[in-house]
Amino acid sequence: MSGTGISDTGTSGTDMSGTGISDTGTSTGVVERAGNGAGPATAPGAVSTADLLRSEMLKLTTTRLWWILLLAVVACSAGFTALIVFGGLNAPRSPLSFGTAGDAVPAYNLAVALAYVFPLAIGVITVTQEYHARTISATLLAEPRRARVYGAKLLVGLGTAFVYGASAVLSGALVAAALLSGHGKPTYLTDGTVLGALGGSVLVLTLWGAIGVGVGALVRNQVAAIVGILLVTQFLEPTLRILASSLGNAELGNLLPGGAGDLAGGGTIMTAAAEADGGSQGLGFLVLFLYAVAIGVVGAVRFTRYEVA
Amino acid sequence: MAQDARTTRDEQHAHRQQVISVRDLRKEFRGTRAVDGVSFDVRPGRVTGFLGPNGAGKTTTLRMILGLIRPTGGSALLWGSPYAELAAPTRRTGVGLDGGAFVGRRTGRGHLRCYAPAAGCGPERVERLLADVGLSGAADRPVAGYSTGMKQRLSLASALLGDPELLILDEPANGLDPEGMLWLREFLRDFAASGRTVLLSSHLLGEMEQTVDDVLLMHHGRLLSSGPLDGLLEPGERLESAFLRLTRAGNGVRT
Repeated sequence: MSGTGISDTGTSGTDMSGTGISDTGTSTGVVERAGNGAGPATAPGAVSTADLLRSEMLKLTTTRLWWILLLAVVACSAGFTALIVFGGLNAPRSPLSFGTAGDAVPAYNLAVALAYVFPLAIGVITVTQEYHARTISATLLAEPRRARVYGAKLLVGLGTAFVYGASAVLSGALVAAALLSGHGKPTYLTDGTVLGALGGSVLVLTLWGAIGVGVGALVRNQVAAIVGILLVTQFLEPTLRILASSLGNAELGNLLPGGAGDLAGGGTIMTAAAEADGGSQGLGFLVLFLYAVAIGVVGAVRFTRYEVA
Repeated sequence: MAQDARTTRDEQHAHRQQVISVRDLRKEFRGTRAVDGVSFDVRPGRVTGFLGPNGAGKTTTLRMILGLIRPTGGSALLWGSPYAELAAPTRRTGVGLDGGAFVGRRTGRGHLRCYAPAAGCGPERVERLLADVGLSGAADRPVAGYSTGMKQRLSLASALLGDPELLILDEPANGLDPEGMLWLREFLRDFAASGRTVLLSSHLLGEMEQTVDDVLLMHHGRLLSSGPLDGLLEPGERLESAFLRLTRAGNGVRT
């Protein structure tokens, strides 16, 4: 086996010096390299952005978690939409009405109201899994420029959350439209208000992925982070929004991240329940975006300074 | 070994000749001195054993060399640069820490694939490495089901992804059976014989005696001794006895 010295490009798969450990006792000579190998023959280039992204994508796709959560977000969106829209169509006293496109928006926005915890969770896990399994050492050894690693995780988190968001919104919309048309009602699927709400929902769910990466970098402990986001999104924030509403300041709920997301999606049953439908979709986006930037920046600071002991 | 006080220029020159050059490296964790003024060089083409009992400060020192922990003071350079300033470091340096840290549900092959891009390693080399460390048959099984020895071998394959000229391994002998130990020893000897460099830490003094050329003996955060193994041992002496002799000699020789 001929050694080749240090390979300077990414094409080194075929012409490597052997590693010499194929079987016990016969390894002598297999690790020979051309030259004496004492110094660097060539200066390798930096890790490319494409390689960084490929690495982060592989970390996501080499375990089953990403598609289990994808199935969960689709099931959650489609299931709740079926339940709530069916109830809305058939219950004698329904909180939902389907008289106008605007009335139908909450039926189409159940994904953003109830399923945003899934893109949030996958964002969190892209970071916390590395600390949990201690693979963060290997990751930071492969690219010690930590801001680049964080940036790659942010991009992969956004991309995954977009896939989750699009899948959840699409499956929810299909179920809602099927139920509406099955009931002989207009689906409003081509109406600008509904389309704006669906598009807004996908964007909101995508932003939640970035927030997740920031939260993961902030909290680091996987169990604490997952329990934390469940408590905040499923209990604490809904409670605060109802509380704000009952104190006569329902709009304050729109300044909370979940409330802002609901508003940015064009309004949801949560917005309606809290009677906080005063704000505009743009305001919702602005608030949620500011949350994403703030959490992303604080997460970045923490990620770049952390000591990997 | 450039360990005496010299002019800055001479020292810079010395840094370039050494693969790893550590000067007065210190780390305090909340008042505890984990590493207390350690200086040494690692020479090319040698297997250097970083030896000492558990808690001596070996892992902390290695992590400072690798830029994972910030030193309280001092410097650690690889080829004259801090690790964090090396471009694509895993193409020159292969590292195995923690006896292998893996995501349990990821397969052995999946783990290697995750870290292959940054190391410039193609799929053929991943397969080759899996075969070389004897994990081809287990490559598609989740790492959670691997034995300690298999994890050590996967960790070594991981370190070799970039066909590095320097290997830094933290306790690579932990959990290896005698056959695995022999296999590791021969691998490391061959690796160094080809002009490449190995720095490995271990608390298994007896095992390392047969593996290393140079010894860095560490105890309570300080370096007791550094230099070739032959120079450290008195005639007929074992490494373990030498270690006891040096620890009994008091605070040890600051090098």
